Amino acid sequence: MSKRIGTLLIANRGEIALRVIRTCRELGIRSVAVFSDADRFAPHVRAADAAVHIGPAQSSLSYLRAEAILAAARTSGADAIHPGYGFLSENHEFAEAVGKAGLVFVGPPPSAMITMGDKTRAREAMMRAGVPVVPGSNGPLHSADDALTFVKEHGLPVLIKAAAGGGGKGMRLVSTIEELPAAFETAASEAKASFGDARVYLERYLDSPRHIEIQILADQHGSVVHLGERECSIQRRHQKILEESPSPILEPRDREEMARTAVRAAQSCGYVNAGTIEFLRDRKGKFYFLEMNTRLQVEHPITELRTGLDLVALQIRVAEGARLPFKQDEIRWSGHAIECRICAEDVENGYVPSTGRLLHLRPSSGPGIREDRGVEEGSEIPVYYDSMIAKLCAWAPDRATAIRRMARALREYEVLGVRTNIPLLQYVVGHPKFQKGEFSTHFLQDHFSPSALAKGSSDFREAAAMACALLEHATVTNAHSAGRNGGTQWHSWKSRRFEGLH
Amino acid sequence: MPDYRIDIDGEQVLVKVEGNSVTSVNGKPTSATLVVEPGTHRFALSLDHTTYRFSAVKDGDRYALTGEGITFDLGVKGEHEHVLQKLGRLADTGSALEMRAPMPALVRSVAVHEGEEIAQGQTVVILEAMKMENDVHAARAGKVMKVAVHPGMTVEKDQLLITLE
Repeated sequence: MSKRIGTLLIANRGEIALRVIRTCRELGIRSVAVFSDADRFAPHVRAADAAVHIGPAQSSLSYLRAEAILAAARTSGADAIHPGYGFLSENHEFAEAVGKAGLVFVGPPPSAMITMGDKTRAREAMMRAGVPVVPGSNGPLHSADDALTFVKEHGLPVLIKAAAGGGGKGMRLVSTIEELPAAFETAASEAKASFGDARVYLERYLDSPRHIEIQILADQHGSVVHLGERECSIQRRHQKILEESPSPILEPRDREEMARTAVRAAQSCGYVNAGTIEFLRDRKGKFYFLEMNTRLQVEHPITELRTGLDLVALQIRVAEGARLPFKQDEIRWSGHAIECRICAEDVENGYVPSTGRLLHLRPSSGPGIREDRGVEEGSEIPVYYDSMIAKLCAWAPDRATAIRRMARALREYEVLGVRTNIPLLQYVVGHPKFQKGEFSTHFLQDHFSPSALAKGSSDFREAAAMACALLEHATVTNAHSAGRNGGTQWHSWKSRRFEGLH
Repeated sequence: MPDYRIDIDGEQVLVKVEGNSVTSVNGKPTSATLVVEPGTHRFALSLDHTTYRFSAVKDGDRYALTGEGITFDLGVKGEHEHVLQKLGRLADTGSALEMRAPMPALVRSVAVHEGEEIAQGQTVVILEAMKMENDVHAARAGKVMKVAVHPGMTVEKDQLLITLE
């Protein structure tokens, strides 16, 4: 069945909504944005051809409300919905409802979501397909005793994971047998609270693994291809902060084997559209299926930079029923790409999200830089959603150049008004172990503490102090009358002219 | 010549400014000027032929400044801020409070009279200095015992303005 999409509603917000809208513009597809109270002035809302208000700021009352999204689709005349990532993107009930409403869901069939969304079911499906999985419990654990039995057979440490979890959430590390019973109970109640499903399972915790994932793309006609790997080992508490492609560690033969396995995994669940199979690779080079993400991933830009493909456009075409426009052997990769996730967080204070207004934002640009961002100078970073400001990508013909380029781009990137993790990202790309490609998911644990952050030379700090004094002096001497604070209450001096300064 | 006390990352830096130039830093003679890009947050500090590029915004009573990937959070206290602090912003404990002029100034107006009961924070005198008006506030509540100045007169530094019981 081939049905051209005329109007696409993006059931998401921020940078991914803007990303999808941009492709819609290039394809001549009418785009519809949805927004909560907090996103009334968001860039994605202005960028779309139409926008529908869907509820209050809290996600549960807006972006997660399937009825509100479907109602917005009806009123806006959308014939398809793109779910982005997060929110309802891996919710099979939502996908089913979209289909029942006569709309096209730009993503996989609900059956594939069901298989891969339940992490224990996914493991079972993979084992049946001959895909190696991380040693773990067969199915969910029924009690702490089950957990003990597993540990006696497979050893420690283990990760207790929520069956309905994913994306690095809902996991608990257990290193000693004494902690196990209590950890099991806590994990189950946390899983219930976070995902509405108390079922947990166990996985053996691999020693210093590397997280390597394969992008796959499948059409409705049985064709499945892979678009190469991404290494996402630089993580903080299981949240990725930097990704790169290709992986600096994979040999061509390993790459081929991983890619073939990923394609097999996708085929085994009848997958259609874009998806990612995540693997963990141990120190000996053995790799194991971790999970499959049945949606477009945050870090998809680095695959696009290397292949020259527009993954969102391909998603839309696949959803329309078109065949993939290339065969596996026609896909070409070029150069090296790195992505850094710039987030509004206070690294020195426990990575607390830094909310507030982006009083100043000056992104980097220039050769080989791609920036995906859904906020602008003047935007608020609200408390309700994630703290991501932008995805900053650097492409270069080789890894060393890409690293230098990213370092340059990070130095140029200016944000004031909220704290960011830019200093942490600079630390990572400047670290010799990272530069040599010698790292695992433990990189930050092993090599970083907030005291390692650069503070600037004393000359630079003195210069900053001088600059500040001169700015204050200019402010004060230009004030007509002084109130309690010298009379001026602005956040910037964009609109002021300074006599005496040229 | 105005002094500015900058606190940056827990460090105090004393900067003397004249017009649009720095004349000394922590007592050391230094010459630096600032160039602001109009309509932006960007500027450049020129110090001994070296240029330091920054962007900055004033966020409440602090400055957020960034350059070369490093971001600073700075507090600035200008001479007038010192003055304001001395002008009774701090709570006092209980003995008779003598409110004195923190710098040479012209008395613009007197807002209270002897015998009046006033509240903490209430404006008692308005002084003019350095082309700025400064409200003198009562550091605590009390009864005005003595008003030692009148509008139009000039006062020396530390000259008595008001006594509170």
